[in-house]
Amino acid sequence: MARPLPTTLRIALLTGLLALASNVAVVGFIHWRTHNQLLDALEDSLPVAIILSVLLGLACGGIVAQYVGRRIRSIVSVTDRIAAGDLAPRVRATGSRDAFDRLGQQINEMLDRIGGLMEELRLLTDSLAHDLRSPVSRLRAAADAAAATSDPAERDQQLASVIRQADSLMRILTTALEISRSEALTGRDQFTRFDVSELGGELSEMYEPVAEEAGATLHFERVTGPMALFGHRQLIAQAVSNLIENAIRYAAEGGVIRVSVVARGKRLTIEVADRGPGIPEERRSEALRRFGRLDSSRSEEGAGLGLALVAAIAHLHDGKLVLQDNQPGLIAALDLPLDRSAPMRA
Amino acid sequence: MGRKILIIEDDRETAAYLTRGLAEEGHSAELATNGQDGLFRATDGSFDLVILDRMLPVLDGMAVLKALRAAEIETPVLVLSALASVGDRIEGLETGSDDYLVKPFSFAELLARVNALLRRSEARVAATDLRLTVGDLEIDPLSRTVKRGGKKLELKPREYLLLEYFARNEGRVVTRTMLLEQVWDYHFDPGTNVIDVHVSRLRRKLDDGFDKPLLHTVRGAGYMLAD
Repeated sequence: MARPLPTTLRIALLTGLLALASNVAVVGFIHWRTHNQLLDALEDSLPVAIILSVLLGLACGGIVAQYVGRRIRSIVSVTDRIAAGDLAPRVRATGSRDAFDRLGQQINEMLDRIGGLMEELRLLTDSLAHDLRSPVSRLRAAADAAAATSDPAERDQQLASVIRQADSLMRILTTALEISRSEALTGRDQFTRFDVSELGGELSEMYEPVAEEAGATLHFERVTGPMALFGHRQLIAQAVSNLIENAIRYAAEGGVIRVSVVARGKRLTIEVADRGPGIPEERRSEALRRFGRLDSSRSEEGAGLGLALVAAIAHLHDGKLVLQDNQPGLIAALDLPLDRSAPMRA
Repeated sequence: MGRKILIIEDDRETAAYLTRGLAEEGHSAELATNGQDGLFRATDGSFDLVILDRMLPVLDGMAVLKALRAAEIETPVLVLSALASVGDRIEGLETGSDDYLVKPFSFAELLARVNALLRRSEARVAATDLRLTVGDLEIDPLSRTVKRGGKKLELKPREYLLLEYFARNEGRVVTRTMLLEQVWDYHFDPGTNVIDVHVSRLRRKLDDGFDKPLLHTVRGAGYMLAD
């Protein structure tokens, strides 16, 4: 397919042609006066040349101004509508791939990103408002019961439940905050270099008795030698402990939970694998979403923020959380770039 | 014995709650309602403890803390803050505070931390005997050996650290979060009862076969090692 010439090139060509034509005209004029005094000829032709070039300049300027104005107006009309609150319109490309098209394309990409973020924010606000209702109503019910009873023991019990519900609400809010912090890449100033293998061992040792109490065994596959990661030690610890807690909570009946740290090339993977029911492939992305808890009947503990937090912490470290099939069971893998000596992005 | 505590807090309700509670425990609490006033009063170094809110009018909490430490005032500082993220906690601790407590908090949690800090400042003054004893329990921090009634107890490294922390806070309530922060050095909130599981394992090794239990559960607050 023959591609139309870029507009700027077309204008340049046109201008060049016109300039050439005027030169030819002047030279022709000179020739017409043939062998008369050359000086006279030049003197006479000069005003004509000047008038011609002024006219030409004006014409070209006018054409360019009109063209640029039209292109910019089409972009402005889009940004105007965006400013008015309608995020749907996009800058139309003319297909000429010139600077205006590139600008339009950039604006469109920016709008797509903003649109995505807005949608995510809307989802988050909706689900926060929705999912906080059940802990709040449990809290309310316990407070009501405490107020209604005349039995001191019963009242104490209900008040303890009020405190427990309030704490769990606080935990949900703190986690939601932690997620948005990590997604906004805050906290990189607290990155340090630490040994992930050691951290994995420490966390496994910490959760081993908890797993045992739940009827499972937890193994840590130790690797030889230290494995350095430049990252936020506390947040990585929180991410890994979230994965281990998930495995204990949902897959203790599977018996064995395996925690391992593996280096593959320039990447490092912290894996928590269980033999529980796993997550079907088509529901894995849902599991990573905020409040995307798969089983809504498990209403007592957590608000389905655990995996979303792990994913956000991975994002903070330029890594990702991958959910895989353990046949049977789930492998939750925190995939991170190994010790980055390159300077941090601000 | 009552101690002198300076509360730097602009929220009247929290300040009243703290002052009342600490007075009930026999401490005398003074209140400063902005950072500048608080810094001014804390610089004479006559307080045993400063409870510092992080977000204050005039001069914010972190600035007060930096100024205090720059002036070489080593009074223990407990920072209170509504900034709850792990990053905020780490920043608070790295600025030179001795402890960091996130709002909202239970008074039991605050009191346990206040007592631990007060005890630490006491211990700094008194030359301590290295060996720790609680009833018939003997802990030797140098060799990391533990004996109860003359009989050696086999503890895992983490169990030993847990017990040593309890022993250093003998007779004082220690909360689950304090244990997680001090014994494991983790500053996030685990969803499960991980601390309880470890404490009950330690308790089995410590108290099984002995008439008198040493490790007690304090309802609604945490644990306490006491004779």
